[in-house]
Amino acid sequence: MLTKNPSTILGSGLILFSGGVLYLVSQFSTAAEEFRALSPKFFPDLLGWALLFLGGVIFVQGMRRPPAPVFRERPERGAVVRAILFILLVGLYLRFLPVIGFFSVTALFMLLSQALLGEKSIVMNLLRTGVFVFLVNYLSSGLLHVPLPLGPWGF
Amino acid sequence: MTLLAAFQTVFTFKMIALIFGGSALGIIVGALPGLSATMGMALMLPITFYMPPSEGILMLLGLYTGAVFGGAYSAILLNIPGAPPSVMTSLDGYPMAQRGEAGRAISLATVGSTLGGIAGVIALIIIAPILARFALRFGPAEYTVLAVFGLSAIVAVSGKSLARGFAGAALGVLLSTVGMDNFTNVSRFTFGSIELMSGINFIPVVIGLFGLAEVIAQILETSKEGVITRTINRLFLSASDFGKVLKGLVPASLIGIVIGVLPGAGGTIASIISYNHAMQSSKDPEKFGTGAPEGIIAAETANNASVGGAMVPLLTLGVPGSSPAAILLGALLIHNLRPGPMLFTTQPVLINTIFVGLLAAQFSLLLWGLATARIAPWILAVRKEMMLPTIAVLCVIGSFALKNSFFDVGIMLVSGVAGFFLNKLGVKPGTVILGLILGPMFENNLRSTIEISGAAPIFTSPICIVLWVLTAAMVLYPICKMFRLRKCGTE
Amino acid sequence: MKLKKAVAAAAVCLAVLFAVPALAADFPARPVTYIIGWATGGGSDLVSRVLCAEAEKHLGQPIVIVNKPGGSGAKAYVEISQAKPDGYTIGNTTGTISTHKFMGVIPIGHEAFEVVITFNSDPGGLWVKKDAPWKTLKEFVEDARKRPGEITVAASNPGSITRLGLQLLELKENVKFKIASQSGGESAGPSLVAGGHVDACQAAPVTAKSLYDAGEIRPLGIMSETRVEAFPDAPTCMEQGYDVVMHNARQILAPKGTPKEVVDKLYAAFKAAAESETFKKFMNESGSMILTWDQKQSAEFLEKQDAQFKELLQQVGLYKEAK
Repeated sequence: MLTKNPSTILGSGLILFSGGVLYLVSQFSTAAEEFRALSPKFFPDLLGWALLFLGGVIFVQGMRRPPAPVFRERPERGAVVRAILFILLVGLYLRFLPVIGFFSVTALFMLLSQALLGEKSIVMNLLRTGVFVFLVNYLSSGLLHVPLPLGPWGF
Repeated sequence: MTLLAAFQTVFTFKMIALIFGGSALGIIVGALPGLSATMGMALMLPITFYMPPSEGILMLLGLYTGAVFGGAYSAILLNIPGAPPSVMTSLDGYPMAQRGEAGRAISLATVGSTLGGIAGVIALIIIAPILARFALRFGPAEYTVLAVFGLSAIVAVSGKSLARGFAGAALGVLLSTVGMDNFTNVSRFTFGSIELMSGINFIPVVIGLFGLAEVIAQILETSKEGVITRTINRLFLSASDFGKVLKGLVPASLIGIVIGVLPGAGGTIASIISYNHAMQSSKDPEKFGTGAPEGIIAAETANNASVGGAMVPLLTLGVPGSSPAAILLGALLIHNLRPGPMLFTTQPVLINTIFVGLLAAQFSLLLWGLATARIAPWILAVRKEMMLPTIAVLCVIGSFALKNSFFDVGIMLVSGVAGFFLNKLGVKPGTVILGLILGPMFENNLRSTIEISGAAPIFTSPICIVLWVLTAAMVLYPICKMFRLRKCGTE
Repeated sequence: MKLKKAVAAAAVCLAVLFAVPALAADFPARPVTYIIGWATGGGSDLVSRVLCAEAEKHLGQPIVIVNKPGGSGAKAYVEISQAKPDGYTIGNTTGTISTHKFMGVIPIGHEAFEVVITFNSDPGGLWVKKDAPWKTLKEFVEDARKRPGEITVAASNPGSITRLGLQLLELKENVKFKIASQSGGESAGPSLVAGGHVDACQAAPVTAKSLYDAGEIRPLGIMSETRVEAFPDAPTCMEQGYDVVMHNARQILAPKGTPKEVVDKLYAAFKAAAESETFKKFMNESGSMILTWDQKQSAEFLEKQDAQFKELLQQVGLYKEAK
């Protein structure tokens, strides 16, 4: 899958996507209104068709002349796993940010993600996390007065 | 001689400290993704209430100037445009930094920004009234064609495949339609969510597409080692680089000034058009996007020149040419000063102080930029294990800080993942951003025009005709070149 | 078992003890969050920032301003209504507090809040280019009567206060303009007029002041009961015989259930802020009107505004039954 033709993948992806878009556009509730200017449906419709067309073009281009595969060399399995885990971590970061507050969730995130990416020394990990969180906190609340979400315990 | 009095006012220790301090703060604000000049200035606004007006205004001007320039840092070092005007800077700045020439990139951005900014101030001083008149003649029809002109930059940013370029732009424009339609209150693609009703803000998308996507790409790269070798960074630019700056100065500043003057178009659009122009008029456009100094120069010179431009309608008509200018308006109002033609006659010293102060602010960029050009690249030497989580955190905070919205962070995350895959499949993030930024300008102004007078003015107004011709030139020139190459069989 | 009960009881007592300081007597004991439902740098934002900077001094605690733009305040309204009613989360409104619920944007209106104070009001106004053929409002309206749907007037998007004011004029006088929406709210209107792209625009004096001072545009009629202080030469619609009044008033809201003592303290602080020199200077220079209506007066006003907008929205066909 990773070494397959990116143009056909992209092309088919776009075609499917634009199909969805066109369907959604038809659902816009513009029932009884007359529009002096362009209907709000006009533009999204146009774009949907454009994407459909472009998707087709790209697909055909891909069939006629296969370009270089998506990944030049297969990335090693470990890297893929790490990438997916990292994204999940960011997702969790987002999920818990409103719950436990910026300070704590950032510290947790930094610790976990550094470990994930290969930081072996726990001491360095903790040190860097501490310094970083402190700096960002100071910068945002202290210097710039940008309020960051607080956890239930006030920081 | 009021100009002399103004010089005396500005060049006191306190004033210079305020300007340079404001500029430093501005650079930090600009460099942090998600924080914009407007935000920084709004936060500093209350402080100016209790200062004499000239001091407060000059500090804010320093902030503004610094913030527009500061975005270049994260654009070059982290591939995350720190502020929208720096999107184009990252296209060539980041590859250059990846090559080990980060210091050179920052120096180029510095000198370009300074000279562009100075050009902007000079234009402000000399031809402000003419520019202001010109700005008023821009109505919805003209903005529509301007948007088309900006969109023609798709050709420049697409890379090898035009089809993908258009697809990316179409995606971007489609994203920009999400939300409650301004004209008819019809909800488009909102799926009942109140968050989506106000549309998808493009800063989280930029951060995700450029920043997070790059982080993901880096995690997957096992072949490259994390440390980038540093080349020797000279404090000042090499003679040939400086020559390039001078060469690009005039067109980029002109574009920046003219676009900056228009309310509703600012540094971002100026840098897009300037970049496009630089690429089309260059002898080998293929190197754009791989680390061409001309690209950085074009983008940064234009966006700082637009600062001076934005001040034109503000000072001459009292109409802010950009959001940060609106904050400046507020600051003036607090002190009972209403900008407009009356201010020129009743407060000549203040006006001249603003001119001189703004000029001084540009030089502050030179100081800070060159001072940090040496040390900023050290950031790149930080190991991946620390670097990538840090960038991720910055991405999260940046997307959040704009509207205090967790939803925006979600958008950033989705854009990051989607952007990574799109990039791998050949759709460049720059095209999507182009569509996202220019889409609303095009659609809204087109509909305004039609509402007011039908679509005719788009083709008949003199300014529009000029813009169409320019667009045609921008689009046809590279396509002609491409056909000529194909005919000769070099494919 | 007994031990568990004792611990639970002790915990409850402790919790109550800790809750007590959150009561009104010590308000405010920590910074107050002020939510603005509009973008940084906009009209509401600037006015609020100046006001809060002054109010901080009288409140004794910093006021942290947070921008949460979205749907012309809709998102912020929902958030404030769901916050803890302890006085530490407040925010501001514009006239949209009355229009959103009648257009089905959000299900709540001012009843879901305690209104602390009404501090500002901007009337609508009709502006034309300095050399426009119409010298008075009468000429303008009569011209519109003769050629319906031809005179272009720039106003904000459907349902916005600005536009409603214009539509009110249309309904009362039975004329029809060609209303053009513009993106970016009403601030673009005056520029469009000055540039000759539209015949007239609907905008509050605040928005039009710059170009008015610069001599580019002039007012045909302001939609207030009496002349605006900062615009002594601008005639009102009423004095010209047209009963058209449209205000965009700003209030500060607190969630429903906030204790009266807290609301009173907030009112006192913001009232003092509204009467401060700094704020007065700012509002005067911008051409905006300062008010200091307390909870009762504000509630009465909002009831009237609700009724007015409900009827107006029904007449222009934007009314949607509440969900």
